[in-house]
Amino acid sequence: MVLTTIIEVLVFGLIFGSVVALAGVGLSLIYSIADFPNFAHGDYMMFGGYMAFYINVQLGMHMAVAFAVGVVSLVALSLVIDRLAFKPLRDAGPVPLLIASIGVALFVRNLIKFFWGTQTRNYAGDWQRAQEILPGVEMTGQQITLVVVAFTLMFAVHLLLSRTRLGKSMRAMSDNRRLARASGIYAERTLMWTWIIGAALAAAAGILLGMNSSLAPYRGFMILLAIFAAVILGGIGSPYGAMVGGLIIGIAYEATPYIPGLDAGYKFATTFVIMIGILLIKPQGIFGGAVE
Amino acid sequence: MIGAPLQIANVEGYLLTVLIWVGIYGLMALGLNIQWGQTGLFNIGVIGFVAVGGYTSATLTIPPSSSYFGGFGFPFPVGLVGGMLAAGFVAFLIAIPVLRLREDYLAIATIGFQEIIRLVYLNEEWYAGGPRGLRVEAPYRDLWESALPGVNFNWMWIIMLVLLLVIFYVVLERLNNSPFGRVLKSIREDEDVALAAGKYVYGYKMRSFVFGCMIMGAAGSIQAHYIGYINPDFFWPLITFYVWIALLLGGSGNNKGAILGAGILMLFLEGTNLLKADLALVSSTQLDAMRFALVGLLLVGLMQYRPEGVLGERRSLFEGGGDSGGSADAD
Repeated sequence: MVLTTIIEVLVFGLIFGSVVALAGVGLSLIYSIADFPNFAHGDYMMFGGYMAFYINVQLGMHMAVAFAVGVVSLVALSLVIDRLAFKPLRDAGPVPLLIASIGVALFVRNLIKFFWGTQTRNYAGDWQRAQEILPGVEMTGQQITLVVVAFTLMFAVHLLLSRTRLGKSMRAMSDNRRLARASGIYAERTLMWTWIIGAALAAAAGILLGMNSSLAPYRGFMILLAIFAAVILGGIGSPYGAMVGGLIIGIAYEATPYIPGLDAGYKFATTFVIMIGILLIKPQGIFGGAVE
Repeated sequence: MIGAPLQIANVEGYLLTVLIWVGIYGLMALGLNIQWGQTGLFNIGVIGFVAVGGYTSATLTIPPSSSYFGGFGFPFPVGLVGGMLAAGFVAFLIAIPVLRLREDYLAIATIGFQEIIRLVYLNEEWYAGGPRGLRVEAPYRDLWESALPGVNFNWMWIIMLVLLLVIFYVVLERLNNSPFGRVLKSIREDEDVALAAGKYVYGYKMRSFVFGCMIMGAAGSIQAHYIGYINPDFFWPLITFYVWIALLLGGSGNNKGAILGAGILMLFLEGTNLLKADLALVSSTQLDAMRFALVGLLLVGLMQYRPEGVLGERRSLFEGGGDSGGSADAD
């Protein structure tokens, strides 16, 4: 019995953790390269999720099309927002950017409310049938898809960072922007690609989150704090740290009800406590430092 | 809370309600001003401290019952002061670790604590009824009605808020122009300089943080007793951002600006709320969404075009005003 519980926590932790990790990789890249914590990241996720909802449910198209449209539309939105909201503040330091990102978060969240209302939404499709993947542990088709897609995308980011010129530029920018510029890296272009990648991952994470549970305008902001926890745990600017951090946060989240004295209502609180703990003990995170 | 569409049958009552909210947000903004405006402490956990003040004040003043913790039946002033002390104490505990953090980490840590506080009140049903919350009596109602029959009771809240605002304003202005205030500003401008000058930066930050949170606690106490009700739904993170907008609108670093900003924010929120009755083109949810989307744009616009707010931040220590003590601080 105990073993089944542990496996269950690990499996559900893996599911929630892969969403957190996927979003965390994007948030971490933006944090270290654009140099501010983007408080709109969670609402970006929801926007991607809702665009996919529009295609999948309101237009009745296949989920794969919905996924693609969700990603592309969020990338477009994030680039427009970067140009209009963040670019004029580029040299003002992290605090004005952080405050502006809170404004952007409010704007995007209410854009969603305007078009889709405040009720929760679910994607169409009936693949909820659970399969037994380990003795006593069941996963639905959606959950298996979620984990596979999340890990595939994270592997793609790994290839991009380690094998391409762009990846090299991004790592250089996050290490030392001035030095990167001096050595001929186009800062604006690298930054643009950072937003494209970050937004694409955010949209994917939002859609996967919607597949696993449901969409709601406020959910993005709630999960944002868990994502920050993952990013800080892993070390800002370390995509691999965000991946590991995401999984740890996911498992802690799902393990919460089994901690004596706590119940399911404290799931998010556990992730914040871990975040605050790591800020105190090792603010640079487990894998600390710049994009590796 | 500020939201519901209104049938304005009673103009006086409506205006009083708006003014009371200006006062409550004004208090929160004053508390934030000493932290952010004077000391540069990036606290985005404001509403958490408001919640501690409100809940503590409620628990201290309501009658005993087995369905929640205590119920101590103390008079209102005990609740108010108790709420402030509790908010200050929680702030102290939180500050011990977080004040050492860099500003962006401090922001994330305070917002995390704010959610933890809300989740505790939501989940610990034995303490204050969890999601159901507590009913809180308005103080002095009988006294008011026997002494001033026919006069709207909400005037009592206006008087109380004006009193509190004046007291805190005077104290904060005194602080502002004292050596203590100048050290705070030097920390805001450049922490290392303050350190190099031999100031115990951590201690100054701590006092600024705790005092600011106590004022937020007072706002929470008034809010709970004014609404007559307290539950975790009053303490969503959105409210913290309202307080930030109020302060940034008015001009951070400026105590008058903090109160003025609360006024402008309420004018905007209520003004756009009044449109609800007349606009048939969109649903009320959509109109709400448009209002808050505008609030978001306002925040971005403020950062881009007027980061110093309406009344302007007084970056007086190292820029422009010369370094002749606090003389440039005078209004």
